[in-house]
Amino acid sequence: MEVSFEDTARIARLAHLSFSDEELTVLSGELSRIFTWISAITAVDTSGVAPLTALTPERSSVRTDRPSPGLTQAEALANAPETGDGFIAAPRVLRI
Amino acid sequence: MHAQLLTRSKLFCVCATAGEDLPNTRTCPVCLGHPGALPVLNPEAARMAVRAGTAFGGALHHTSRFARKHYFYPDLPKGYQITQYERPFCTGGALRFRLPDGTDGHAAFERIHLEEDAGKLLHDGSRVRADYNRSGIPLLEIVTQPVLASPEAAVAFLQELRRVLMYLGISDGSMERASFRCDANVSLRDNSGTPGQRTEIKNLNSFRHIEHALHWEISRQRELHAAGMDVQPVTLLWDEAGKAGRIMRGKESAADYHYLDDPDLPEMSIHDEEMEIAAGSLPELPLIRAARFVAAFGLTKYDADVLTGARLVADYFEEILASFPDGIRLSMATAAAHWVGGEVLAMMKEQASEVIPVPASHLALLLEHVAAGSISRTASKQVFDRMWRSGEHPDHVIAALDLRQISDADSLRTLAGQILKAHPAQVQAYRDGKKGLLGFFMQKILVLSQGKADPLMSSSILSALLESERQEPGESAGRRSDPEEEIPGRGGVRP
Ligand SMILES: [Zn+2]
Repeated sequence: MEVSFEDTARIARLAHLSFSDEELTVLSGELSRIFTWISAITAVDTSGVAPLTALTPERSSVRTDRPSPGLTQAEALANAPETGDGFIAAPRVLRI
Repeated sequence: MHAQLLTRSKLFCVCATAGEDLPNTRTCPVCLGHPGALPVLNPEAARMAVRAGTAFGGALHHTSRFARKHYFYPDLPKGYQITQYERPFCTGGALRFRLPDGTDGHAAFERIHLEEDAGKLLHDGSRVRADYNRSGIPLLEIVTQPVLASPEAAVAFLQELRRVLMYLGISDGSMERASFRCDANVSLRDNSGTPGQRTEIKNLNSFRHIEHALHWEISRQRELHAAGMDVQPVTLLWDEAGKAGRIMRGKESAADYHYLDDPDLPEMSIHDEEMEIAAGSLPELPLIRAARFVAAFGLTKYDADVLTGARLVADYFEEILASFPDGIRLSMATAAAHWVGGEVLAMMKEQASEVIPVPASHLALLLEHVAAGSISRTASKQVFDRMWRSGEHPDHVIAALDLRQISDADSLRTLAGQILKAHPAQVQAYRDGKKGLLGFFMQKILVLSQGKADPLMSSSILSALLESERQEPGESAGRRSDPEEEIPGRGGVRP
């Protein structure tokens, strides 16, 4: 299965990643080989089988609408590269 | 539009939806998007959603799916928002509302679905600061068909929608706190009736802003058409201070959200019995209730509208009616409606109160006193004020404030006598034909009785005294009173 240079460039753009043309050529070749390998699964006849969209049980009986404490503020901020006044800070970007 | 559902915990985790207001104090690995955290649907959010779908008469689906909507922005820690896309839990549905001209409006819905809210961002120079307390709070999104034909119709629709969601007990309807928000799409039809390119306006957080923004966008599109230019598919941010929309982004660049069924979440299923429970527990909706108030209690349409504005207020009104003895219930309905629509609503507003601390039975009693004339309407407001603040029984307040209306003829005649005696010149002028002076004497008797003199009785007693003593010129006024009561300093007021 072929993943074109253009497809690869578009996926990279959507993922906010930038590559040179040489890198994109290499990546589209690698992606094509991965997709070809994965597509072997399509050989299985799944007619009449309902699609499996989740591996979790239909409904969880443990959950109720009772709040319970999660992370402390310090814990919530612990992994953030930049914080201030209890907030997580990030560069200002345009939403697309 | 989006309405925040009144659950206590978030849509896919057990973090609290309210409480601590310091930033990032109500979060967990799920709503912060930590790798490996598993979302689990809040069953109460699902129940509220079913309730809404039932009330609006939409088609509820036994199974629906959650999907990931991908975009990159700091308000979204996972890099996607969990929403419903191809298979919402409810399609169709509609809302009846009243247009500003009094005619009936009907807005059909495209769909209703559940989704999670994003975090809140504060923009600060070159940085954004993110608070994820709001991340993962359940939202109900309702998408209407393009059927609202004017800004006024859109506002009337949204007001009724807000009222219904509050009646259903699933939203607090607060626009200030952004728990009721609207994104408005605007397109103009050409002469053949074909809708043109639509644009979207965001950041509309009051009904007034919505109306301004829609009018502004309609003229902007008209001007573009007039100049022979195309309307671009843009998203605008409304700036109320500047009374203008600002183009935020071209819509075409945002088209690719990579919707994907969320593999971490099972299908959302709604069983028949849940649909039956929802259908069986719907409250009477406001428009229907208002019509019943008009038909059953003889209220005006206006009064019925005021009372049904909030379910709490309408319930309170009905509780007051239920407290009256059977024989006077109907005759007291309008007085009760005016009191609740006037004093009670004014007090709730003044005190910024969302509850009514005066028991309905107490207010009913107070209204009976007013109707019976045992206290004046002016005094009753004073009593109500104290009942609201102290929670006291009306009889207790009336006694404590000594407000019982003076309506026995003897006491009033004594007061009237004193006044006529104190103002011989005005008495003479009245008897010489200046009948307008009755108002002067009325004012004096109200002051002397500290507002407690029954106005109607006082007026007739004063005129009777003034007229009857006409035949006795030379006599000073008030002679007919018991001489004992003319001793200066002795007040004739009897409670
Ligand atoms: Zn959480």
